Amino acid sequence: MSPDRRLVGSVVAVAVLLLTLTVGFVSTAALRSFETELRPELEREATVVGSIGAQAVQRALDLGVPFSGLSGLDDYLAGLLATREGLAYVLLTDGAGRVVSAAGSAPAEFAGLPAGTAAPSRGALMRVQGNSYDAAQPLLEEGRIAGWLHVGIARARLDTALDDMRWDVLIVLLVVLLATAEFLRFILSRLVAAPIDMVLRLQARLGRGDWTARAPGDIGAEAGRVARHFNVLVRRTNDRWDRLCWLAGESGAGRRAAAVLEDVKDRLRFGTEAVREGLGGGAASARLPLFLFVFAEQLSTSFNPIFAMELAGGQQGMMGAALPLVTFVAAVALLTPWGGQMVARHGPRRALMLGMIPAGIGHLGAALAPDLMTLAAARAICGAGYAVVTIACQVQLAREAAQGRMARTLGGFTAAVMTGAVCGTAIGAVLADRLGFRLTFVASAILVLGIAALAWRCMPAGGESEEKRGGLWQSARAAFAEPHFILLVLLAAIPAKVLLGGFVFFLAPLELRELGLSQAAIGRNVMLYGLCMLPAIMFGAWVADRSGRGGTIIVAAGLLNGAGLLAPLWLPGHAALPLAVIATGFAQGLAAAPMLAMIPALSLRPGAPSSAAMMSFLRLAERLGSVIGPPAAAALLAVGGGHQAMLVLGVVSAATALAYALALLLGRNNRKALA
Amino acid sequence: MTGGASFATRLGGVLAIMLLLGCALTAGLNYLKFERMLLEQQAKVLEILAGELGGTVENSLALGVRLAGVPGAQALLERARAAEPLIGGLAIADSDGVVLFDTDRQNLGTTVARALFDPRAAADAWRFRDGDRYGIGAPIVNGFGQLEGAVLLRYGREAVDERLTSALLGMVQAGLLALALAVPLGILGIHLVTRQARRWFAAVETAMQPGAAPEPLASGLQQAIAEADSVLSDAERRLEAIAATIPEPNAPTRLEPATP
Repeated sequence: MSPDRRLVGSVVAVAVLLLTLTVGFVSTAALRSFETELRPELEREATVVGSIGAQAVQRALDLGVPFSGLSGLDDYLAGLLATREGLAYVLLTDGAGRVVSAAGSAPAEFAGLPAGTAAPSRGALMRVQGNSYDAAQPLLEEGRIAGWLHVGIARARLDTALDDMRWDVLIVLLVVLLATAEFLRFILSRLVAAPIDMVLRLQARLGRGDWTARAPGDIGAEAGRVARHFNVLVRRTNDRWDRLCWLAGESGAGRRAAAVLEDVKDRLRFGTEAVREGLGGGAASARLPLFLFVFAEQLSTSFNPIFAMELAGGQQGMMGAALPLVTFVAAVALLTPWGGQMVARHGPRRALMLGMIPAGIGHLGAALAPDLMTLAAARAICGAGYAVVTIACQVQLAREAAQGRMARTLGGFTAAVMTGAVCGTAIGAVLADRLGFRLTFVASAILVLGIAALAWRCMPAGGESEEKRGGLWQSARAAFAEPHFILLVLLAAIPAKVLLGGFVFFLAPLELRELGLSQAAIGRNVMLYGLCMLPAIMFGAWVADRSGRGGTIIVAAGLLNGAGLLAPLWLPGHAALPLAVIATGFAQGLAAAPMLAMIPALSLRPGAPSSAAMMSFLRLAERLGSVIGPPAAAALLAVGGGHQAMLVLGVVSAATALAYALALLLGRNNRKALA
Repeated sequence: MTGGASFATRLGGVLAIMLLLGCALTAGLNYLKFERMLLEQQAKVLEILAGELGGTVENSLALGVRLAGVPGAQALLERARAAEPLIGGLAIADSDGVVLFDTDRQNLGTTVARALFDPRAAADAWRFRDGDRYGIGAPIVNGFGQLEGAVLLRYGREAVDERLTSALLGMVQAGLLALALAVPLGILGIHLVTRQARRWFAAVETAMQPGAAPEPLASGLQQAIAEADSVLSDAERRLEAIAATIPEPNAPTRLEPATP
């Protein structure tokens, strides 16, 4: 029985519980001290505005105008309120607290100061009135208090700041939780799951009478001790065999002794095998570097266009803002097949290390960019690194996938990319807000350096000799000559990304804005896509591995996506849009792992290129879909409006899914007929 | 990843580091946001004061007085500085940057750096940095809308730093308290949930010792060892028996040592 089944879940649960409580406690303390320390500053503002306002009234009183004879007060107070941003109200009361004149909206709870209230020795009398901080300045007539000028500053400013901070804390918590889960998964995989797997394999060999196996000596923790004991056991048993051989030689009864030795050899094998039973890198060896790499890359996602506009100095407009994004995506799309070739030639680890070089240089270049063109070039260099690194990790995951777990392991690729993207984008926005754009790029470059060191240490070397080699065009021809691959690309991969780019990233935000939602609410609705996709990846991968029906899952996902996008036929917009986003996230997550899991099997077919090359072409096709999506959706939007565009996209998804199902069915029937 | 520390200890270490990172990120990012907000709020209040001073000077200009001759301007600046402890220094400079009035009288007649004047100064107040001091400029505009000069208000961040230190201390205290509880709890929790895996490793380790008692968790391994042991023991007995009898003539024995 292997004890690692529930271990990851239990360890992660402990971490989640403690991190949530700890971060929650610290953030509560932070918010409390924030409120305590900011409040006097807000009160000071009210006091300063009040003292300025009171000066003019006081001057009139000092010139002998009686308090009851003051005129033009409403206009004066309205002017005072209008010139100062963030004031809730300005009002004048008499000595008994009755309101004489007012501007702005005082809270219902407002009560004037009662007669006999003493004037403060300096500044204003501070109170909290409803949801405002109230500063009351005394107005003196012949040495007695004739009235009070009240200035109210709404608590809303403080509340907005506190809300911002709460969201930031939630983001930090989410990022720390996801990152912790990845780190724990990595350590558990290296120190528990992989060693247990190795021990079980060694045990199986001993059970078959194979005493030639040796465990690697470079493992740590309990697994290391087990490995050392295992090697001692094997050595002791081999020594007993040596002794038997010696005894047989000394016995002087050659034939009978030889027969005894032959009996032993029939059942047991001794000696040292050339190839040791390795620990194996496990899927985590590529997953953690991939997660961290995507995290580093996405740190700049939230501010790239803004930084580009800043560098362009407003000269290039929206085109200038989009340029770095375009160069990055173009570099990724164009260099992905080349990345696949590189992985095939050098193996995943070396390719990944080589990919880190342009990525790091690109981030540094972006940090130092003096103008828009340099930034665009730097982002293109980053894109080159991204193309190589992601393919290297994908191929490494496919190499490490255990029998019957291909979809789940490759689902880990999409999950790591999604998690890295969510965490990187979220924390990048917070970092940029606090440290600035350039320093955030520097943080990305430093992170890339750390990831290179991690990958060098943890990813197993080699892999190049196992891959088939060939030129880029040769590989492309071979890949697209494989009918199943071309069907997968045309009827599943490209439509999925067209929907993603066209609906989730383009149409949904625009339609949600049309419904009158705030930017934050639009962001939360779009975020539903990622939140639904992550569990769906795991579910889709699990079902694919259990059932072996990856094609059926892809078809079901396409139909589900289509049905989700047809929701406006039955539901009003405010319900249909989030539902469609959820359906798209779930459907795309469901199909992600089965789609990737088909590639290693397809690459084994005669004439097919390496799995690295095929994966790179699949990725290229997906990028193409992402590029087509937004303009296609824009055209549909222009022609028939948002709902029509959604319906067309839904029909396209369902139609391509049905076509893919038909193709699978025909292919199966053909194979049966041939058999 | 070689070395003797248990995997549970390493997991506990990672959890402790992540707890520390979580607390540090929460405290650090909140501190930076808080710093920015406090500086902004302080600047906002001082901007109101600078604007008010500028307005007072403009009222004098409206009476036809030239900026250099505004009556009581020096006293106005000194009174304002005395009334507001946040203000480090106040000056009025003409549009060429020549200091006409200053709370630090040594600066009178000197020229301030052009960098302190914002190109959009005629429209709005602006902010500047002068060494380690912060500053706010409020334009002084005549009745024809022309920039006559500016009120330059300098201030330090000592007051903000005091508040920041106080907030940081509060967060550090809360963080240390949370870590003091969470880290031992985390290590304990990890040791509890990894108990089964550690037992399994220990059982496998024990099962490989000579003469080990039966280990239910490593029964497969013990069975394989026992089978090999039985085969080898049987062969030993048989060879010992053969060796004890008379040697056969002219019969070479084939030797195959396991190791070279």
